[in-house]
Amino acid sequence: MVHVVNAEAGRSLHERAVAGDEVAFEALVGPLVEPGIRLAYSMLGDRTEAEDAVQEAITRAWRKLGQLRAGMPVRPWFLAIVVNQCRNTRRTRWFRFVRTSDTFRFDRDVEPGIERIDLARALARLPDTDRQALFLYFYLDLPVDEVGVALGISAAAAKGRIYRACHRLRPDLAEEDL
Amino acid sequence: MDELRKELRSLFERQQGGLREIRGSRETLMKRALVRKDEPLGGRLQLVAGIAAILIAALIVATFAYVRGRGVFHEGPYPGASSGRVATPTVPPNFKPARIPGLAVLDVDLVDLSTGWVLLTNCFEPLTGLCHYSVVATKNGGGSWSKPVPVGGQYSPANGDAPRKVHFVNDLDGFVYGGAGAFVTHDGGRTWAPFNISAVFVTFITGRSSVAWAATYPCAKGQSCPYEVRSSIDGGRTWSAQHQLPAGLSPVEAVPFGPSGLLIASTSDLVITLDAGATWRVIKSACTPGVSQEQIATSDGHELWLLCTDGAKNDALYVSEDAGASWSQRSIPAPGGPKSGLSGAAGLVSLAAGTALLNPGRGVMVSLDGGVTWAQAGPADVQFIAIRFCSASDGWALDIQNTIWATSDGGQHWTRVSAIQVASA
Repeated sequence: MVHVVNAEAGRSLHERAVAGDEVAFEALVGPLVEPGIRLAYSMLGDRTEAEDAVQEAITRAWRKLGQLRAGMPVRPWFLAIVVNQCRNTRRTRWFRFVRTSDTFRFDRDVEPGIERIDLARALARLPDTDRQALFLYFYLDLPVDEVGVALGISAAAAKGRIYRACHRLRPDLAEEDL
Repeated sequence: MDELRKELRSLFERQQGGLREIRGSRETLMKRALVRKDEPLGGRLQLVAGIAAILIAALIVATFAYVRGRGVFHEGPYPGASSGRVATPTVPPNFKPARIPGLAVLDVDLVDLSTGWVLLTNCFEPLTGLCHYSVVATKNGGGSWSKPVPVGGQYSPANGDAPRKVHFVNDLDGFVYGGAGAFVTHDGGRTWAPFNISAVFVTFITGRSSVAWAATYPCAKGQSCPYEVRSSIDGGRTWSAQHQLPAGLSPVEAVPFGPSGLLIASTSDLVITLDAGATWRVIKSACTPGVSQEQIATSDGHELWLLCTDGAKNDALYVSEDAGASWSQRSIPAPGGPKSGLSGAAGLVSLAAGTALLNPGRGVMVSLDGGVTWAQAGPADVQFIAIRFCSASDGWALDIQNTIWATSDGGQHWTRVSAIQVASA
């Protein structure tokens, strides 16, 4: 007798969400809201802007659920939508003229050491795209391939971007260390 | 590197200090976002972007058509509805498969290690136009693939009614289904016809040999009525009268077992039949309220496996050795340590009593002792999106790079057998 097994992926949440099940959608995307806000805040530097961007990203995620390939991890897919939404926000005239250009700033309450000041300055001088890659990799703990998906680049390009950014911060770093 | 990681984390932490407490934001944002979900996309930016995208797409199509000297859709993966252009599982000796760009793999299925099918779509990001679906077949274990055969029509990308799965009960009788769309073939995928059961929503079609099962929702969206389950003993040509599942029970997936058994997972409890649907029994789920019942598995209807996830860190795996009368929690294998639970994992499979496979996101873990201990099997760094077995020993796994892996020893060892390649017209 032939045994039959069914290995339906962890896609049922996704499928139920696609079918219009808001509870499934919340279960799928809900846990990603906080990292989404953190990512948006790192790009926009303003809590209200970040929450607006994530709210818009959630709406877009709902509409784009049909495009999410079954089996694809949801986290980088959603974070990619957040990144795009933040980029759109930064492109708006209001944001460019009213917001300060430097969205990457630190809480001044704590007096850091000299080395950390240097690192913070070096980090602030990095291109936005490099800083986003570092944020996703080091702060949100995404693996390299998910960093790639979130930034809309290949895993190899993401690894290269992270390495280059690290190398700018610490020139003695080897790629193998990543 | 560790030092840099630590310092960067510390810097990012301090930068995030401006956020303060954000724990309460999740519910608020979800609520607000979902209120707006049905609003039409507005804003000049979207309009301009949409027009620009259309113009660029038109330019590309026109250029391509000009260069080829004829319409772009006369060749390629979607040759139209011509019944003459069908899948040809027999591969010529000099056949050289060529990868067709612009298609993604949605699902795979097999009836033996040589014979299988793949459901393809053009519907993935970046997305332009409407979504199409097609099926290709292999007769040589993925060494080569037939021409794509279109299944169904065109679907809007936002339409949840599009097909998403392919399943064959034997080498002739198969189904493509998902949402409202379901199609059936009785010639191995050469031709496809609309599913012959009227339904608003098709939840699953499964089975093996000549036995098939289908769960459908007969009422319009928004109306509440019981789901219906039917069975077929002739590969889906004719179907039994419908059996109504208990009210409020929404089936999610199903696992057929033995000659006449079916285990159904729902959004709440499980339902099982041992006698081809003559009688049904509801099994209380072990998942805690609020934690989704994600995957089920059984090889005999007696030993049941149940994976509950919440997309975060409250995942739990349960095993019942008394047909669901009681459940015991088992450890969840996590090679490399998934950071936020198992959501998105690609399969829980029971091959025989005590034996199960689980894909925790990367690689495959195998347990031979009822889930008490787990061992890594196959490639540890490969992300599988589907795992299918046609017997207790033979199975395929599809990874995210569209590569098929095969096992003939119940998942202990996996061999890379084929990248999905499709013959161009």
